[in-house]
Amino acid sequence: MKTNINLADIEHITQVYKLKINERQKQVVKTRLERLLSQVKVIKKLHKQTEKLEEITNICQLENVFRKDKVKASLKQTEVLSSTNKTKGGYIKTVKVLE
Amino acid sequence: MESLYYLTIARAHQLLKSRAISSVELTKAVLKRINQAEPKINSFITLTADLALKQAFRVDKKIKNNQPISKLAGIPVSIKDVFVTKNIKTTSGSKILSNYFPQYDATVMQRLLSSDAVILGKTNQDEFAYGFTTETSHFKTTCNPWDLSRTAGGSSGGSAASVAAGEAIYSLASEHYDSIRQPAAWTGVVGFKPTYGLVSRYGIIAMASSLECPGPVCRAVEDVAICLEYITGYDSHDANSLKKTVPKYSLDLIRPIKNLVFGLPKEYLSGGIESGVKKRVVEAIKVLEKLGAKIREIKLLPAEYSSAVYDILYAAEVASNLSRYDGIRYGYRVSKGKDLNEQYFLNREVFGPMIKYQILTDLRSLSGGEFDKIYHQSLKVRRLIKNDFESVFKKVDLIIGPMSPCVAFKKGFYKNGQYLSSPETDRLKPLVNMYSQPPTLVGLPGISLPCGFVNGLPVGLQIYGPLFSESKILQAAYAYEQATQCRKFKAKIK
Repeated sequence: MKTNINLADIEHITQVYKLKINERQKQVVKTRLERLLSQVKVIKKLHKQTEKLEEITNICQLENVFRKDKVKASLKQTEVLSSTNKTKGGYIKTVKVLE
Repeated sequence: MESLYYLTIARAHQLLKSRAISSVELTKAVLKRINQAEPKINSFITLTADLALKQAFRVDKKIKNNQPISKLAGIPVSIKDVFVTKNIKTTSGSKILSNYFPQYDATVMQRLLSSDAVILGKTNQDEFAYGFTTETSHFKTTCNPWDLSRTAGGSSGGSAASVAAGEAIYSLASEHYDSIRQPAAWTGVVGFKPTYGLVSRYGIIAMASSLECPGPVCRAVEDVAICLEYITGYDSHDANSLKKTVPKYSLDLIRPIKNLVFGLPKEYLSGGIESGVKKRVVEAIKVLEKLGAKIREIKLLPAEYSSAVYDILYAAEVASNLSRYDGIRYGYRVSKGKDLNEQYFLNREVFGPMIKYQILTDLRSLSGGEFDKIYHQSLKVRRLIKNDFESVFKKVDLIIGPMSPCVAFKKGFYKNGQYLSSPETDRLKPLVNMYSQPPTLVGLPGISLPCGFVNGLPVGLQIYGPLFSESKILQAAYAYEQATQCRKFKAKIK
């Protein structure tokens, strides 16, 4: 992780995520990132204490198992489409994808 | 006659079974109370009064026909809006889901429905459960029934306030680290977070999946026990769900706590804790000692370790969970975009500022190549914390402390898309993190229950324990509750 945060980086991320924020808000994100970086430093400092420990990926120590491949009832097409406001011929209609 | 809307689950069940009251009567009394109190409290985003009355009517018919009923049957409950509910609007406090009517029920909702619970509606919360005052909700700010100029806490502020104000007999809430219990503490009710994996997360609108946990907000410890018996249990829809036999928590409440050893971390009562809160917690500890429990001072790992792990795991989980809101399949859809790219931009505009900050912060941190390494190292620190708790729980049965270092905050703490920062909040924040982040990170169960007041505002006592120590926690909490009058006070809504 880069340790220096600049506003251009944040602008880049807003484009990637397609989420617009104003200049003041970019400053807020910058401050928050700096705080997160300070948390990273805490974790790094614990390297020696933790290097031999096993990671916790599941709190309750469950193991991966396969369930039976059984076909179960699923939602009807009309139900699936009921949450979108534009449909056509059983499909979800979006605005045009290409410019 | 006692006010029906202030009944406990246990008492309401007794009255229903003996036919002293009907479920329709009880439901109407609660709905009337909602009509009176709601303009001042703002607990609910959506009310389902018609549905509630239909369900109540059905239960009354069962009682009339001498059919067996569950302990939750016919009793009005409010549901945090983070749980998806079939054909009932589900927003998670966000404008982006303001028109979302789910096609299925969360498992916990399904369990309540099959127990014949009476569903009153969906309660207010911080947007996507991110916040601690319910002020980040797109819809409204929930007020504290004990003092309307204060918040009810969060993120489950609506759930807690609805129970405290008599707008529901109990509520179903959820938390990442203290979102059930902190609002319960601030509004003078009981909040419980079960062991991670004991109650299914299926149907919780996802934010940070490895931390999310549903749990009840009630008026009494016994009600928590009853509620847990119905919502706990394996669910094949939740990959982290545990196959465990559900104990009869409510039948196992009365146990002498004479031999219980409580650990009290020294740091819990030092630093920036408000003196009034400290006083109440110290008094509560003395009550437990009088009941024969032993208190032992303990030392936990520095809280900054868990705080760092928490922030990093949260960062990794939130950004990916919130990327699904594109406005195409469901949720708020802006129709004026000239192409899909523009539509994404316009659509995401409707996220609240706090959520936008969180998404961007998370994404930026994830985008660096080194994050993967840091993430894995955080999971090792999580192990370190787990090991520490395991060794502490060899010496003590349960850990005790304050739920929150302060009483309810004044409203207006959230301004211009951010929580205000002051020397006072800087003193409080490390304690807030210290009380709940370490146990939550390793999935431990815990309770907050009323332990008195400071200037008329409720204070919460926290008790937590090892994985699956629900029974023991409830026994200790019940013993304390029975030995004091704390839970008996009701808010006078002015």
